[in-house]
Amino acid sequence: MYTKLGNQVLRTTQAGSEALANIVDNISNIKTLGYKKQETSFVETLNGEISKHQNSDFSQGLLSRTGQEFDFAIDGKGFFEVELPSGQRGYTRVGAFSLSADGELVTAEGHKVLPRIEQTSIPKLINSQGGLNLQVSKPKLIIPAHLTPEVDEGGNIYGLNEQTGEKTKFGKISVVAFNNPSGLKPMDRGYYLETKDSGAPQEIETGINAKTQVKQGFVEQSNVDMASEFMNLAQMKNVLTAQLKVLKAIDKIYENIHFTISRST
Amino acid sequence: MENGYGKTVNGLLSKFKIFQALSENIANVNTVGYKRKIPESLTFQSTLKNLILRDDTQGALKKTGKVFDLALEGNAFFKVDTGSGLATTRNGRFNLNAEGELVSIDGHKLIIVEKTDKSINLALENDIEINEEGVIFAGNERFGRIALEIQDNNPVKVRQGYVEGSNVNLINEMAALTMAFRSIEASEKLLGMEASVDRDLIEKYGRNV
Repeated sequence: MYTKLGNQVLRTTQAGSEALANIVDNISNIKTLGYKKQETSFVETLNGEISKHQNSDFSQGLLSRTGQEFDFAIDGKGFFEVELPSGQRGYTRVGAFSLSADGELVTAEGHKVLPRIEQTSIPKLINSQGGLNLQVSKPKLIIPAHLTPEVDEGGNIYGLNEQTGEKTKFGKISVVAFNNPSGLKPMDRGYYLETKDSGAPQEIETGINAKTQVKQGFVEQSNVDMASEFMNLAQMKNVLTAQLKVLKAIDKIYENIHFTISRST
Repeated sequence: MENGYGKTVNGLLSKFKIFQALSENIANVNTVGYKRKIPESLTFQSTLKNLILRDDTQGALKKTGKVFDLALEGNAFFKVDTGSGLATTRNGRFNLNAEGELVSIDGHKLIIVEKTDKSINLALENDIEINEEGVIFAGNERFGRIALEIQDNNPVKVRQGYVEGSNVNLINEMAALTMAFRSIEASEKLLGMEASVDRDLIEKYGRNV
């Protein structure tokens, strides 16, 4: 009985300090492009226990125009798909891309941005002794440097020759969505990995009339709202202060019991 | 002579229970849908049976704006499938799981009835509206209706974008806690005094008996 006293307060205080750390993280990342705020909720489960749940909120951040030809933002649900150095697929909302030395579209960290496969690539026949070899090329997003890149809301990349006015299509940026994005595993620098909680990536429709659009020349801000984070901060501080007072009182009670017992022996 | 310990210890035990109820209320001031325990309902009898009355008043609704945060106004519960049976809950914070189904925070599936046979994946819809009867609309298509267990005849409303906070008033609980603490201190001192009185008596007069 004596040990139960304040047990729940102690656990909730620890959980509360973690929640406070999340709020501070959110506030310090308000300017980080594509940052998704961390939310904490305390709920009573069916058998009466209190548990803390933490997840990322994937609501849309504001889009701001940069006018840079390789800046992209997603308006709506979905993620860009990239190839991480380990060969794994990574997913991100941060579309601050550029061209690598080979002219391939890459992220700020140098990871290749993957295209949506629209048709099976035609295998090339290579003559060699002893038979035919088929070489299947892996699709890449390569844009020749002398052409001006134009990307529409469907993520279709066109290279415009300024002199001749001729437009060639070079590919389509892949955008995928998950049933439960909060279940994705967050990594450094705004990348996410698929998990069994997030569900498998699904190709979604992008375009000017679709629910999701790719916007060239824009970046997505964080979805942190300063006002509500500060309100949460103040509230959390109040509760933690109250809980610390309770813990101090319990400490005093134990001290008194100790004293009483020692005096009577 | 009457043994003074018994009464004081009994009193102390129920004071501890009151203190514990108050500290649990304080610990849960931020817990969604938490109903405060009423310390005044604790008498020695109820302590034996481990019964504590809970204050069932509606907690304040907090606006979150999240599409699957649902607060219930009125006396009703959501129905969830725990995997080993149905259960009810007032905790209205829901999310989509890996299969695109609406689940509670602890992963239990929300029961939705009158589902349309069109294949709508809620995860891919931008515009999901849930009206006061609990009917879910994705864009203009009707998806289904959230099943509710209604306890009485009063009107029940589902409010999308809100969660029900606890019904704990932090200042009141802290004030009650301070009083409970002083009361425990007094009892402990009394216990201590009785113990030292007995010891003095035994030391002074017990030896020659």
